[in-house]
Amino acid sequence: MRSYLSLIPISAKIHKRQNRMTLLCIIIAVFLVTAVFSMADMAVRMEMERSKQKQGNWHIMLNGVPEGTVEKILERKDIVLSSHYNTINYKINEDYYIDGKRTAICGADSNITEIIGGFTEGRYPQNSHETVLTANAKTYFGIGIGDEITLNMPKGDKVYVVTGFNDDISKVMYYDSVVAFVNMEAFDEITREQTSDSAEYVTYIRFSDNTDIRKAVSQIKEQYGLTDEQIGQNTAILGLLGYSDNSYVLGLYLVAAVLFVLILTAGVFMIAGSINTNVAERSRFFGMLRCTGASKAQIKRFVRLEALNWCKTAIPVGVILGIVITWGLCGILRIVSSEFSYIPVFGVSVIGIVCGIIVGILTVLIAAQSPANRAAKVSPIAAVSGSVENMKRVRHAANTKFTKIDTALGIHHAVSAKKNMFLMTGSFALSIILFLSFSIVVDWVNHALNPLRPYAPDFSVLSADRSCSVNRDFAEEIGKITGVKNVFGRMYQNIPATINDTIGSIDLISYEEKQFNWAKQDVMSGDLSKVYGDSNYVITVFDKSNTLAVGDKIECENGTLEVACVLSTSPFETTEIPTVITSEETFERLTGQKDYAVIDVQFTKDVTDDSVNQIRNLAGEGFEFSDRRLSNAETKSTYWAFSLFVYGFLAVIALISVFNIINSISMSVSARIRQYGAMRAVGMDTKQVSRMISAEAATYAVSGCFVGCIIGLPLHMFLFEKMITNYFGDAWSFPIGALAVILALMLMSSAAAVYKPAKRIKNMAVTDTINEL
Amino acid sequence: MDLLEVKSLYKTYGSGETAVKALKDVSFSVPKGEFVAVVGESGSGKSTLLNMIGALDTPTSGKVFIDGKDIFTMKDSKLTIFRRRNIGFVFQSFNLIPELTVEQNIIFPVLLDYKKPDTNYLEELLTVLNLKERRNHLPNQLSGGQQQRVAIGRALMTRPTLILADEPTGNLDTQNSSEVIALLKEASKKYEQTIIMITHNRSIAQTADRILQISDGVLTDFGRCRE
Repeated sequence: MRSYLSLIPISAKIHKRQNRMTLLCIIIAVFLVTAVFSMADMAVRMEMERSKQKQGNWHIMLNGVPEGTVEKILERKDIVLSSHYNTINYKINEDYYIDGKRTAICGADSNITEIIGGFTEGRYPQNSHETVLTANAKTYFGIGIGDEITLNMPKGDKVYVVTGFNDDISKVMYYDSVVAFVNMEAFDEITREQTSDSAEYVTYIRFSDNTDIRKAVSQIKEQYGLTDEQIGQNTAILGLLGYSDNSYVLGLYLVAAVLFVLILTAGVFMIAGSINTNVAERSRFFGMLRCTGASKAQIKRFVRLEALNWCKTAIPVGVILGIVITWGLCGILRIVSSEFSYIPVFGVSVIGIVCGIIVGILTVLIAAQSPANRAAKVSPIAAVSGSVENMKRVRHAANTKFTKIDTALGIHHAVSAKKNMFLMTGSFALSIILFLSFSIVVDWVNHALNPLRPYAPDFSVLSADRSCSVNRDFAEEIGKITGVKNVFGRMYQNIPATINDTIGSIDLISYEEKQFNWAKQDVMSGDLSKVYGDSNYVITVFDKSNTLAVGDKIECENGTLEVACVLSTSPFETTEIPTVITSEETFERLTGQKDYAVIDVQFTKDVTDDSVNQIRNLAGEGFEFSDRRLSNAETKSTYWAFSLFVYGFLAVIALISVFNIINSISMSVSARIRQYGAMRAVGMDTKQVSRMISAEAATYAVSGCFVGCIIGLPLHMFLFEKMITNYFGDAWSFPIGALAVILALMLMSSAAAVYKPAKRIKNMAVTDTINEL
Repeated sequence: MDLLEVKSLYKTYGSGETAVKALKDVSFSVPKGEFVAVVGESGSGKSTLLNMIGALDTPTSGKVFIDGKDIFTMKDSKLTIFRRRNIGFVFQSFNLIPELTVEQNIIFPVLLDYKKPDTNYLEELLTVLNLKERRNHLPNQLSGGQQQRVAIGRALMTRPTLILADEPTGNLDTQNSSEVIALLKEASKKYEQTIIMITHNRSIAQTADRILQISDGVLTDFGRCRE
């Protein structure tokens, strides 16, 4: 032994059992941080890949900058790639067609293939007679590479040779349209002929990997006197790279920072509890060190170094565990859902590892502070007289009149130590409050992402002029196609009506059985069943601008309708005109219409493009289609990523609560171990000891749950109203599910917390404590 | 009939070269109502013997009979109840429950049996122990002598047949020590209780009915003292 600090590894060997818990706590903290941040990193990489696919792999875009300036800017050494680009008919509402399908025309140089992904087939147009089309053109027109297509434009047609295909873009699918890419020469020609103007291009720019993009942008702005409007930023990619000064992205960084601090705090909380227990269990040891001449400062150093000594094993184990679990989770996500096809499986996140190590060392150092002080305070007498006795602190006797002696003592142990009681109640309450507050985010995700609603269609067939002209029999025919899960249609007509003496109009929509069934979940008030069949009852949908409530009357040409029910949400976009839903029978009577305005289709998971094309072919001319499979999948993946994050965080909160409870109870038992020994010597049996500890744990749990509910429920209501009621109209309801989950978890961990100390006392010989007297 | 019978008791701690033989072939018996003092050097095995008799520890071999019952054949749960009802303990450092008042500490073993304490007996004990005015005090409000009297009260409350006292006067001054011994002797006579007391103090040992000495784990019976 070279110094007193050499005692640390020796002591660690002897106190293996006591150290196990602390080690476990550090491992869990490091593991959680590594896993959470690695997963976040993987999600960022996935989003980055997706953003590159969706928005293009560029950093900034020059818009409306004179050509000469653009050329000068492009001379910068930190720019690795640039491409000129422009679009005609971007909104797909002008008269550009290929074989009847609306078409957007993109003009760009061949560098665009590096910026926009998906040029997987063929080659980019090299002359003004060539084009690359989106892949849906293959099925629409039955063409391949080398075939000719005619582009119909308002001022004359042009023929192009197809040289390749680009992967479908969700927007293109949604609007049932095609995109044609041509080179700049061809684009200039089209622009000149169609608009009599010369083509103006935006310039996409990609910087090299190590460029400080924010700095580069401000340099360019300053040097060439450009405005914010002239330099567009690819918010998603710059945000993910950490270079964006966009306020939304900065908000996200703030959230990440808050979460980091929260995890750090929770980690400190958990590890401090554990080291405290460890120190409390060894107060005699520290007393002995003090007895033999160690100063307070030396004891503090001893505890801190001892804590760091644990890091030596705990941090590598935590980090490795974090990496492996991240791999597993990413693998599972990839297998479970096709939305996660971009997530890397065996990615190693440097950020995750560094955060894990920093959090490990930082939490341990912060957490060791209070136990170190506590250890330094142990009086040398403790070594002589046994453990630190808390006799002097007792001011009130336990009440043994109303409960059994073991229960009474347990409750008294909890209640008498005011500071501990406050901390334990606070810890229970905090977990409940955090859990309840976070559970609202789950509700929010469920509300905000529409395609996840049961009625979200994958494909829609609409009449071109939104009139009721889609034959009802057609719905039945679609239902027979393989891969089709559900088919449902709606009639629609805007009719004049008088509401509360105000003359206006309503959007009348019909529902059939399936849609009524789905609507049941969204009933805010009133009785939905009244609306079935031919009646004068209708449903309306909550919206801030819609004043209709249950019982209100709507006068229209063919009768008076009464609002029987208000729904919180519907598949329709809200407008100034109130949405009124009736049964098909009522709709027919009121309007005389029999056919649908729109037919929505939901597919099974294994649906193929053939089935979708079959529907198109069956419908024939005069209809519009909307294929939302791709956009639904995108939203679903956002939902999954969001849910994973929210539930992951909930799990972290829950896990930390569990550990904290277990630690605190264990610590309380350790402090009283000698007393328990004496009680056992005078005849207390192990069941009674267990009951005593259970009573103590139950006291913490009950008071913690009580305070947690008192604060958590009003807070839940407040947040719910802010986040949900204000936007989606759902009234607050008692969060029975979330509350039940967290309360059950609290009670279960309290029960688990009792088990170990009780077992320890049971297995300990009475003489172990008595002999120390 | 003897209340306590100890037969060929051996206790060895550790094994191999580091084995320590704390008790070697200890045999003796004590009739009902006798007050026995056990003396010996520090580390001679006195406390080990007392722990064996009180069923707080198990011997390597040998048997202990209390009231004719072989205590080491009993299961742990049964043994706890047996101990609670039949053996009273008095420790050197009192070991009172700090959260309970004097009265609650005394009736603690009865409460552990979930029974109602005999109030007449409690009053009698409080009078004998001179603790009536202190009945609602907490242990930390008492002097060492008073605390030890509470511990004796606790040991007497269940009317056990055997009282085991491990250095009951170890933490007390001379006056308090003689008071405590007088109390124990009085109880032994009044309630016909057998008392086995460990002590370092020769003069205190002299007040006992009989003295046993342990030296290096071997017991020597010095026989009955002169009255």
